[in-house]
Amino acid sequence: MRAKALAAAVLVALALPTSALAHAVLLERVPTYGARLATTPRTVSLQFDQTVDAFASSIDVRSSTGKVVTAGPAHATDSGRRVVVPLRRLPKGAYTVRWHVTSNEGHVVAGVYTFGVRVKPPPPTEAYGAGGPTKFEYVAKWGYFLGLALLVGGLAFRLLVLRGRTVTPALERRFYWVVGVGVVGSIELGILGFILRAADAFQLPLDQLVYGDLSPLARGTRFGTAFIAMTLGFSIVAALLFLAWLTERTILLWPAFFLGLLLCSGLSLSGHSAVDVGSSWKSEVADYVHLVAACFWVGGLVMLAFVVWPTAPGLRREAFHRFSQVAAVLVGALVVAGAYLAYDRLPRGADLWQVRYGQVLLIKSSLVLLALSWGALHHFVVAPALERGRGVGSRAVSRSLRGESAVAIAILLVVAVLVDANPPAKSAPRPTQAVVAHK
Amino acid sequence: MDAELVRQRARARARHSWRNTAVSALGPLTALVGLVWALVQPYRVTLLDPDKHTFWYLAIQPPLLVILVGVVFHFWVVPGLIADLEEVEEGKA
Amino acid sequence: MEPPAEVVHWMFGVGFVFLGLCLLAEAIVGAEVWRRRRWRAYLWPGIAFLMGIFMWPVMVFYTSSAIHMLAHSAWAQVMMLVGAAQLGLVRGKLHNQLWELTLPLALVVSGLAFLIHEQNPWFFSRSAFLHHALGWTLLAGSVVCLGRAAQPRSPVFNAGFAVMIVAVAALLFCDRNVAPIFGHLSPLAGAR
Repeated sequence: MRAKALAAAVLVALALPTSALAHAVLLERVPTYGARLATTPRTVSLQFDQTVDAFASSIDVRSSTGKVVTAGPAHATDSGRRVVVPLRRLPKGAYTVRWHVTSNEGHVVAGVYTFGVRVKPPPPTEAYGAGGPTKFEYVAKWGYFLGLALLVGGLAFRLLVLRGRTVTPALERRFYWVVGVGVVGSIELGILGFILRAADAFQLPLDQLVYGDLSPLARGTRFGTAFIAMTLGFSIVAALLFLAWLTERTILLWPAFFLGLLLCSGLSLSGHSAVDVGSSWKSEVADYVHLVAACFWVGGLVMLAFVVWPTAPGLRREAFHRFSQVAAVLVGALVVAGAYLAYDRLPRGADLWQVRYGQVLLIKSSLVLLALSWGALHHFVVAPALERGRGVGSRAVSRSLRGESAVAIAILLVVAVLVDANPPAKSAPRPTQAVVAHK
Repeated sequence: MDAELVRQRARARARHSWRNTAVSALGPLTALVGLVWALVQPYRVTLLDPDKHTFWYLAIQPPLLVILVGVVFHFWVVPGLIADLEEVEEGKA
Repeated sequence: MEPPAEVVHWMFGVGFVFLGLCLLAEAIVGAEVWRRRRWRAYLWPGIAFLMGIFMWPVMVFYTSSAIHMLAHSAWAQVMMLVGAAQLGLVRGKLHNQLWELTLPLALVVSGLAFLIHEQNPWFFSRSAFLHHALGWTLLAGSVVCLGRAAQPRSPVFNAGFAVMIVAVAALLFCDRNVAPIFGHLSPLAGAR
């Protein structure tokens, strides 16, 4: 009875959208987002597609230090479709505009963007007042990295380590589950990460954020560009994986693999390596190599421990041996690229324990050391034993592989924190920086 | 005996032919809807007045696309479908 | 250079018309005849899957609000899911007939996404009216598809599903960015 009443209430609520739910769309901003102006603007004005209610505080404009630079209250013009706020004379610098208006039918619409006077403004994600990533965002990013590792590492394992080997249907089925979870997870968590980043930039509760204008974030930032490219790319990867499964044509996994590799560069191009002070093409390449090697390693371990070991006893020895060889190369690339990046971002040794970035890096390095030792045990002790025909059916080996996988997955969590921590500046901060986003 | 068989088959064909007719009519009907739409709302066919419109409005012509869908369906999907339908109906008869 | 929103709706309308014709033809001749040629069996699930892929660019390039983005993402995912499940069943890769339930599920999700992301009342503008109409059409269609999943050979349910898809196509073709509906257009709707 209660269920029926609830269903009826839901239907009525859907059928009768109250008149207090119209939602205005921002059509134009003057100055526009990301604008680098030669002269100081006299006003900030926002044009909407419908009438809105403006309040004195509807448009808040602040300098990079948080100083309010409006010269009076905001007011509506153009029959309520344009909201304008006068500005003081703005000195050279970057400025953050935060706005919120109410559609005539009661809904709050909001947004944030940045512009610069004689300087290039920072992206909206680094607007004044952005609080930095939350724990929830770290978890989402961790899931995202894990998804990427399962996808790229799983494909690499299937195509390189199991190349030329006849795989059992059970193995194939589980392989598709693993990479399927990887690609779907990457898409879903990518969307979630984008929304969370927007929530941070907008500084709005989630119920108001749903009507926030996300276009400055999607179009005006490297993060947004990477989000667009990676969402589109992963949808194609998902389609390729599905077709490979449907038609049983392994060859279709190759384009999915190469596209996945390409998409990894999106993270590098939108992360520290591309935007930090002193970043160069070398740091971007190192970051990419580091990420790809980590994906191969983590995804490969998961494949070995959770796909090959339980479903294909006949392939255990060979797969272990082959992955052990590949892993040696991966670990080499991982360590070399990681060491270069650490040196590049933390030129002073004391930074390792004095700044947050260094501290997180220390934790990560400790976990990596643990995982490498575990990997070395597998490489130098377990692999030769398996070669001699011992331990193929051993539960200890299975448990050990799962343990190493768990450590590798834990490392990804630290990586999720690390990529959002700012390395210490090598020189004086750029004047364009509107805010220190991460405190 | 043979004559009776022929009569039975003819009756069966007549009974099933509405399917044949209906499937054959789908494409032309769709194209006709598109044509009527183009005549009733000629301004939706922006190619008739290309100077006033931007790229996307010239690239996408809804009434013409509906006609195109009807034509493609009729010439690509329907012939094989009719052949299969007749084959099955013959078999049943 | 993105197409205006109404043009995108028309493009999807084209896909839905073709999809509707295929389903109508299948409902008329029956699944046995329709699936006699392998490629035809793959046709409508393939179109649904492809339209799901094409929905992703719409999702990432039209970010005027978060709810708008999420609704398009939901449509992209359910279209891909339905197409994939149907292709899997037709190909014989999936055997459990419960996968048929992805279709009503997708229609429920799609319908709710239309109703939730459209915040204006029915007669606010044509686009608002169509969003409500689409939402309710899809929800009604989900009931038909539930019947279709239970009785896959029923001509009534199959024809009902096909007609629903054609109706969706017609509604998509009716969309305009700013236009009245039955003479109603809210002064807040953005008309100049």
